[in-house]
Amino acid sequence: MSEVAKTWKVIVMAISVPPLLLMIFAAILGDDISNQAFKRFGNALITGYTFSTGLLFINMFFYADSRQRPLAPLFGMLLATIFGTLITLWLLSQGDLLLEENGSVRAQALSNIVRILVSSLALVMAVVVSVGGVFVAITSRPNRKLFEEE
Amino acid sequence: MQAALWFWLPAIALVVGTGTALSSRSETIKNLSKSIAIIGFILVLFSPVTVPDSPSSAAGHLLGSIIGPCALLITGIYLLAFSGNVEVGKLSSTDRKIGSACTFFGLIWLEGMHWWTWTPMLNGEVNPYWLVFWPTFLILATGLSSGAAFSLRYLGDSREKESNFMLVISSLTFALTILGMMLDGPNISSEIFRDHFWLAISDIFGLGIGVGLSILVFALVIWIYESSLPPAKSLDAPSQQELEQAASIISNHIGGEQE
Repeated sequence: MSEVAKTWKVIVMAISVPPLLLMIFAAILGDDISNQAFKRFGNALITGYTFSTGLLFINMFFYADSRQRPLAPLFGMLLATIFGTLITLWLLSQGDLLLEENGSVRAQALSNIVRILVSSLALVMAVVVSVGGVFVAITSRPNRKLFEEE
Repeated sequence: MQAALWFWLPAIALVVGTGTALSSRSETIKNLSKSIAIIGFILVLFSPVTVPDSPSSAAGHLLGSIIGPCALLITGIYLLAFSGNVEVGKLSSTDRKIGSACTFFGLIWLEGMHWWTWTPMLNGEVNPYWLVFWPTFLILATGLSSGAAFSLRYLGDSREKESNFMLVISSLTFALTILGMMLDGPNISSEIFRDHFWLAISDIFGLGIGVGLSILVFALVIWIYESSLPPAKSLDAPSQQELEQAASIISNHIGGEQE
């Protein structure tokens, strides 16, 4: 394995290990919420897919701008978005499968969308702390001498 | 109907406006998108007042509750980063002090929302979206800071001190998560925090896979379209006359004796 691949492997592990350790710690404390967690996972997956394909569909307009406005990719992304929406609504209407504490499919779908926005906000703040922290650490250090004077 | 008008329409305007402002090339569209996003943001912020009966307005309430500490944190980090050793646009040492104070109070404010009585409360209960935001933020911050620490160590040159600083941030957020799982706050018990920790983990994995799938579909759509295009017409090889003209132009511009 090349050095670059090894480095990336270490970085991916560094990102994943703290959450995994937290999960082990929480599992040791022994709460059983596997049913709720599965429902939340399913809701997040279908909503994440649909929401993101919707945004990428909008983004496709700008791609089309640079390619003399072809309709085929726009239509492709529109189909992908409609497919995601239909699958989401169908899965949510399967009774207890993905419904959390919401009484109807519409309430669950809207709650999923709000939660994705809140999670995105949490992601943005986490990126601000980690990337901003890197900049603060780098700029707080005095300039390094690159070459010794002759 | 009221919720659609006062919450969902502004929320759509906020998301679409932000996305368009980030990806458009036209300055006019960018400015228009920014204005739409700002109006959407303000209307979402006021949704607990405009549509108090809608459950979705809890998100507006959360936004209003965390905007203060988040703004302090962002401003603080910006001032700290640009008052350090930067070559261009360096801020003053007073800005550095203000930045330190902003970051410190921003963090204390956020911590006070879990460990003290500043928790965002709606109708006498903890705002349900705070229980989504806080564990998600802690989990992502500990993972990303740890990733940043190892990136500095392995990709950077002599960046051990900076890497250690990021490990401290990662350890701090890690410790706060562990403490939240073990100790009760005034409004959030450790059991509730643990439940929402698992839900946040499910959210992160679900969103990651969902967004990854959508990017794959996007790439697939572009690849199928691009591969269906006819190959670009290549130019004919230069003629003898064109080659001679190029050679004469080149010979006129080398040597430097004429100047």
